Amino acid sequence: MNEDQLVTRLKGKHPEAVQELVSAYGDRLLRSAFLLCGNEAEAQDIVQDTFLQAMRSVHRFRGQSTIYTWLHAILLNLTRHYHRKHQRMVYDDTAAEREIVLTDENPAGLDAGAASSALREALGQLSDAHREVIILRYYEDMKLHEIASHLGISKGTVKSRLHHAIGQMQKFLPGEMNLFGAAGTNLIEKR
Amino acid sequence: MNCGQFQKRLHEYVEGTLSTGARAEAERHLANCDACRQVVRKEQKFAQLLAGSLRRGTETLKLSPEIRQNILMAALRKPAPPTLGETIIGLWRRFAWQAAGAVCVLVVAGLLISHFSRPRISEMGTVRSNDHSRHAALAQRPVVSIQIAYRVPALKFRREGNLVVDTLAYETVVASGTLCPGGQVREQ
Repeated sequence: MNEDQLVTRLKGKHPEAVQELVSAYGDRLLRSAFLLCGNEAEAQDIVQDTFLQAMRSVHRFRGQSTIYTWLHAILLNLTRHYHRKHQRMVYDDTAAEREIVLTDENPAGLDAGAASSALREALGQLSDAHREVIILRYYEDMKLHEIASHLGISKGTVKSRLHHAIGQMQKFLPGEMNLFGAAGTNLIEKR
Repeated sequence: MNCGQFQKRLHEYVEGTLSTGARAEAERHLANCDACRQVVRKEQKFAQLLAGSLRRGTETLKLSPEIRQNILMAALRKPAPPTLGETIIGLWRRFAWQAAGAVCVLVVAGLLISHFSRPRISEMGTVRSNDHSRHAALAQRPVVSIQIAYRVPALKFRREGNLVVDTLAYETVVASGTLCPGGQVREQ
């Protein structure tokens, strides 16, 4: 079933279409929600609400974006609502236990767990707006104009937020992980 | 293109969305600028490290079976019938313009009717004076004045010798009174 057929069947309230939608995008949305809010239980709830809201508003979906982008836009709004209630993002303990083991890609031969922890900790320290652009750019692999459209801001604002977010993250990373180094950070500041 | 101009377009260069001309210009700059080449490499490494870290850090996350079940149950559930308030709001949203149009037509029609059914100015004086005299007469008049006249037969007898002669005559009786409010009759 391609996207158009799936949307048509969703508009027709076919339960198997909802099942397919959840199978196709549920885990992916959960991971993005987890990165945005930092709490797995909340991420699960946010994804559930995302699908429920999507089912209610599917008649407004015009096919101008992919289904995933549309779902992600709903998820982003719900996550912002969650952030307004909780003010600050704190990664839960299970997330820390899930830290990964970096191997070959680790650029400086750093301790893998420490590198990942440091990056995630740095991400958690960012403001909501800065964390959003980092996740959309580096995790969702969106291009600048796609991020701008997704967030409803200009491309210049996206670049500005990326610039500040990367600068902030570099400040939180230990020296050996600071890819830009002292000179590099200066270069970033001058951008 | 200098270093500042290049680094303003760094993300577009790395993601490959520069126009052909701008990309060629950027490549020419990079060929002669070691510092910008280093910035590009570091940006690419940062992207690679961060993306890899975030992906591997979340790849074991799965949407829980309970949440999947909740979503499917919601899909199978028929939507609840709208409440009275939702019905009213729905009707209002659907028919608001028609209702507004109908109200406008009625208002205009009412204004037209009242305009054309109003007495002309020349007639208004007469109407007003008639109304005035009628009110004055009503104020002076007793509530209700009643006068009744009726004839009563009267049979009279008289003797003439050995004969008795009878005569039938009619007498007129006049009665007058006032009918007061409340239905009481006062005789005069």
